[in-house]
Amino acid sequence: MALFFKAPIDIEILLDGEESRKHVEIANSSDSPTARTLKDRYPIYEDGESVSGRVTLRVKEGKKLEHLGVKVSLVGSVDLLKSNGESKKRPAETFLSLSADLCPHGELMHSQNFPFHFKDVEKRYESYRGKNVDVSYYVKVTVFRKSTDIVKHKRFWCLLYNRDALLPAVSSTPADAKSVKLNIGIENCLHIEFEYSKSQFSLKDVIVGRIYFLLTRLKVKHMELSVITRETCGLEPNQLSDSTSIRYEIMDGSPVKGETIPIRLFLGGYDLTPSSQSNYFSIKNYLSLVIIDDDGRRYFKQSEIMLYRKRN
Amino acid sequence: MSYAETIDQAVTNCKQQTILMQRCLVQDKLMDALKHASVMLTELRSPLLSPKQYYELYISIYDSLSILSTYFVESHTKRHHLADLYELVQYAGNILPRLYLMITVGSAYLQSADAPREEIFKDMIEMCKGVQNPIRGLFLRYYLSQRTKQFFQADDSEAKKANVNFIITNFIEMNKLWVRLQHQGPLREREQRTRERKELKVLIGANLVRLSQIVEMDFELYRTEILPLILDQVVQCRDVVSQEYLLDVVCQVFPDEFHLGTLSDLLTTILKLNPAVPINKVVLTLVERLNGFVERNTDVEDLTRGLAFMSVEEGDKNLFFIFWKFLSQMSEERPDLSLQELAPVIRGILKLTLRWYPDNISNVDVLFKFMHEKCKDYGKAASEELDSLFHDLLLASEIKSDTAFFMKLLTECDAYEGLLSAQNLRLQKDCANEILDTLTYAEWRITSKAELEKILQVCGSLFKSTTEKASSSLMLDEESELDSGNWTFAPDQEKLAQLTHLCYNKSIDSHSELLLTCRNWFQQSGKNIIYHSPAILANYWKLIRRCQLRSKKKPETREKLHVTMKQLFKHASRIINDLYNACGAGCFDLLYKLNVQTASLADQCELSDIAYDFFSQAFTIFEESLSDSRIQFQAIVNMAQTLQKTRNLHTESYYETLITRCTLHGSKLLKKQDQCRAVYTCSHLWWATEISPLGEEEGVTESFFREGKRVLECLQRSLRVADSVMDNVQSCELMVEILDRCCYYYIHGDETSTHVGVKYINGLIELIRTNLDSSALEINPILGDGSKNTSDFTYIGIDGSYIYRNPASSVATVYNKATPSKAVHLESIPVEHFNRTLQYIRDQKDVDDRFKAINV
Amino acid sequence: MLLLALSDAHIPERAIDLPHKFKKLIGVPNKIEQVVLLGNCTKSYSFVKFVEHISSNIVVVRGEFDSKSLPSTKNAREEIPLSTIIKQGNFTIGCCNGYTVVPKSDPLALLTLARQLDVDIILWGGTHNVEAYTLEGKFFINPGTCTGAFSTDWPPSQDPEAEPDKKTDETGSFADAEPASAAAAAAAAVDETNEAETESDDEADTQSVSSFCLLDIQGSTCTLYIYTLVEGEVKVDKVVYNKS
Repeated sequence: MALFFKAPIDIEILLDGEESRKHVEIANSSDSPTARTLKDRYPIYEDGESVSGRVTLRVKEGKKLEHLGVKVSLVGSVDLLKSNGESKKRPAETFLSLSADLCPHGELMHSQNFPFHFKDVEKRYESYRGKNVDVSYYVKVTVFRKSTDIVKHKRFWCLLYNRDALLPAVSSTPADAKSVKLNIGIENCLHIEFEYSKSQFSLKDVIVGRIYFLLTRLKVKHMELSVITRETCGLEPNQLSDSTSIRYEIMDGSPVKGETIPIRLFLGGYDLTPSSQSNYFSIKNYLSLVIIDDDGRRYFKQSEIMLYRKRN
Repeated sequence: MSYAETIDQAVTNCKQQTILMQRCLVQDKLMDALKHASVMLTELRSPLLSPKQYYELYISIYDSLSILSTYFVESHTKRHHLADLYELVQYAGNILPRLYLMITVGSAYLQSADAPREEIFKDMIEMCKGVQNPIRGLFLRYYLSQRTKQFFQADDSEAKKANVNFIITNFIEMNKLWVRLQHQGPLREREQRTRERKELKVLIGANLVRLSQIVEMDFELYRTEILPLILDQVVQCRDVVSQEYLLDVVCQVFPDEFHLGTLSDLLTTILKLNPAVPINKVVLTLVERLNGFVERNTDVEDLTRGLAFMSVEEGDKNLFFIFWKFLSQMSEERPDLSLQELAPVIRGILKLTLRWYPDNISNVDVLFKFMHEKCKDYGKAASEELDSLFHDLLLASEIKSDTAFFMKLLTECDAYEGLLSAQNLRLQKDCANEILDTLTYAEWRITSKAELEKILQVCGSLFKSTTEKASSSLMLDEESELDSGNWTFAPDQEKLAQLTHLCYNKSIDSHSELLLTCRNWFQQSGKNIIYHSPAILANYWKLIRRCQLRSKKKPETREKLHVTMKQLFKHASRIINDLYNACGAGCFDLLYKLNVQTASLADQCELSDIAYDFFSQAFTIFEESLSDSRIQFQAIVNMAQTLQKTRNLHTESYYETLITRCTLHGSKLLKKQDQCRAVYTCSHLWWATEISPLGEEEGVTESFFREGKRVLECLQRSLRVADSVMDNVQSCELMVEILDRCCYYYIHGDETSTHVGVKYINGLIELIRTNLDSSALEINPILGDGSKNTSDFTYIGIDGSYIYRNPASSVATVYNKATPSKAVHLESIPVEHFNRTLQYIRDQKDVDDRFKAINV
Repeated sequence: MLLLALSDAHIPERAIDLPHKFKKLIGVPNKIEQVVLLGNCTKSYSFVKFVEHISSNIVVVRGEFDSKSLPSTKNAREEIPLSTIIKQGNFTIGCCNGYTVVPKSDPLALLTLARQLDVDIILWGGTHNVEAYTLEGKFFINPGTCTGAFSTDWPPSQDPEAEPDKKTDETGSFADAEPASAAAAAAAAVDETNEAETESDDEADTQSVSSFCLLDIQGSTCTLYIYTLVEGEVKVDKVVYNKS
């Protein structure tokens, strides 16, 4: 936007201790493939953490700016990226909106600083940038004018650590330790039993398990374990769902009856998203066991797992 | 990530990635280095390589990973912690590169003191399960084993046990993969699979080698923690190649003493193997090891120590007993085993008992008996392929090497003969031949009758003629061959004849009995006794000679020995008669000669009656049966030679009778030239010459039998015959020969005693000259300038045969009759001979004045 | 050029085989050019095979126990001659077993034969007694018996003092050998009863000395090597004969 107008004023938003704060690097959301490899860097905030900082309004030398007031707001919103052919973001829900006036209307003659402070902000969702959904938090400074307002956003990232409210399943702690056992097969052809140590994993967790081959008449080429993250948004019937996954080969060659194949997958190295659920979208994680036979046929079994973020 | 299409490309890729990886390591760009390593490792995922190629690639990669490993160790805790790296490398998406890297990191980590050894070991081996492809899995686990081997030096027994378990676990998994490799791919490539598998066997075997290094001399550990697990796996895998190979390796890599201690377990395992596994190989390997133990431990102490191992389990320390138990068990549990498979097993155990209990005949007996029973069970189905197996068993080199033992076996072990007789005739003969060869080669002395009979029995097959011959049309030929006195080789019979020479007993009576035993057995072989009789007879001759020598040494025994000798001559006579009865026409000449020689022996023993009898016998054969004129001539001359050397026939004027008869026969020979030669030869019968062993000496001894008048009579008689020969060449040649005789007698004495005087000789020379001159017309044209310039030389031999000498060949050809083509120069023969004799006389004039009286 | 003279093997009727040591010495193919068998050597298959293995050039003369023709030449019925002549280098060699030479082995009789055949060297056999001598410029060689076969000729004298010549020396050495074999006999004597107690092992006395001859003929020089087996050891004597 700023490209078209020569903005009469520079707005700079500096968060307190921003440089020393932890950051995340998130893939650029731009559609162009080259830009996708670029990373955006955002400071991290947690739920309930105060967000404070300073806004600097810089007027060009020798100029002055007349305005109707300056406001700072803290916004958290869910945006759908492309629903039904719309190419632009469509805000679905603004779940957080706090604001404060920085200065009444008047005239800015020279550059001026305004501190701001939002105390103990509750952040309901984790920041998320998916294919269809964007959950974002930002500080927004608006300089109201008679003509177009001058707006400046400053995005930050919010991570939620194991919040009961969001992850009801995690709360029932006994289930956490419970292993997942599944018994699947193709009649007279393949019969396996697999077992994961648990069904809920923190993002830094290791998935450990084993696969027991009760019957194999199939010429297996290899076996993979996939973690599939599926985001679903919108409401029926306009529901959109899209998934990303990691693939991890866990077996090479064809085992005979009675073999046990170990599973171990370190999650920590991957950029995974905790499972979450809201009115407008959900993020679900699945563990998928895929067997590929010599003829390239794929046999798979998915089972949902809960991923949650846990403080180290 | 993908892999190259060919091995060359793959190796090239590896090299490139290695260089890149090294470059990154130098710059401490670990992540990049790992990426290159990972790309390189991807090549190992290729399913396109043959096991050999895969191995080649593996070697190359192993070296590269060693570089990485070294870096890991060196920069541990300085730049990274290996515990972190261990997790880091596990993010590799493909399992094979991931595990290789993981093992590389893990093994590097093991080098630091604070590493959780147990966990790392456990984790690595557990994760390896992810690779189920046989070849890739095998190499991966081999990699694991190679990387970890340096960490197995453990002193306390718990750690040792853990290490052992680790290796065994890896071994078991590897073996499973190896077995599974057999079932990969299409059925028609089975054989190729098997071949490929054998190429890979060292990968599996290496584990056992490693175990043997760890276990050292800890027998308890071996017995309780190692062997049962290995054997269990061997049995369970049910795979022929694997079972055979693994048992072999177990036998090879662990100490002999251990095998002694666990022999029963090993043998029991053998019975549980896949029926297609050749039991004999396994048994043989084991036997070789146990025998090797004896060989290596010549020290008694070592041996006792070894045997102490055995007592751990076996109440009975007898190794053979354990094997015997095994054998009976096998016989029960594996009735499917063919003779073909059984024989080598027995052979193996035989080898064992011969090594461990070298003097124990009963062990061997038991084994042969077992085999014999089996042979009976299988009936007559013994095929020819079995021949070599049984041959091996019956004539194992271990048996033969000690002739004393071999003899003991032949004579004391009934089962030996039983087993031998169960074989087909051809094999029996082969074996008998070899047995005889062995005995004769060692020049073994057979001293007792029982012993001899046993051997004859074992060799009984040689008496049986091969019946096929009788039916063939060749039979007639053979008959006629024997009739004409021709000899046919019979190697079998030859050996039997040689057997008689092995008989020996100090006692002459016992020795004679041995010979009689031979004779009686040989009777079975009918006409074949023509091969044996002369040998038996020769042995009687020797016995007689022994008596003769003994009586000379100890005159007091003379009487007794005299009786014995007479008895022996009777036996000799019987042998000759047997031969006559059996072969008759086939061997008159032989019979004649045997009689003559026996006679001369009798003469030497001063048994004139007996000598006379044998001579008479010879004359009878001559008169009745010798028909060939050449044979007749040779027979008479030979008789003359023999008679001339007799000394004890003068009683009852036997000598005169015999020499007259001999001369008479000579003068009646069919051909005139034979008559002539026979008669002038017989002249020597009246002119005894010295026999130096008797102490006689020309000019000293007075008692020589000499009648010069008779000598001259003979010469005159032969000259008359020579003169009457129509062929001028022969006639002259004979006269020159007579002239030669005259010279002989002339040297021997003067006219008073020899009656061959100057006058007679001069007359003879004149006669020859005249005769040669009268035929000179015929021969002159050729003889004119001497025949020496012609290329051929011809001579007349001792019996009147023509000897043609051609300068082109080193050997002359001999003809009985003058062949027309070569007859051209015959005329020169007597001339040249005459010239040589005259030259001789001239030469003699220089030495002997008497010769000067002869006119040349 | 090497010529091997073997005589009176008498296998199998009187002997088992050549002594092992002899076999080792001469059993090398392509070293000896010609082999002369001087009688009584043709009845054993293995012996004939052995000789054929030494050289393909074999000359045979007939001994009294040889058959009329060679067993090996079954088809071409070649008779074995009583005597034959060989030409090697500048020598002519007469070969004959001598069982028709009367008196047996008499030097003068052999000389007569040499004259009749016009030869420089006479090779003869039949006596089982190795000897070599020159007479009237001719060379006489008897290789003895190659197997030590028993001879029906008069046994060598048992009294060492009675005989001054070479033969006695051989006999003497045999007498020396006796103690050793006597010990062997004593060991075997356990089951013997009355008679043999004092008897020694006298079998050796009935054997002849094993011997053979090798002639190295170079032009006009013939070097004779006489091999004898004495007390189990091979002894070699050398005699040189030059044709004048």
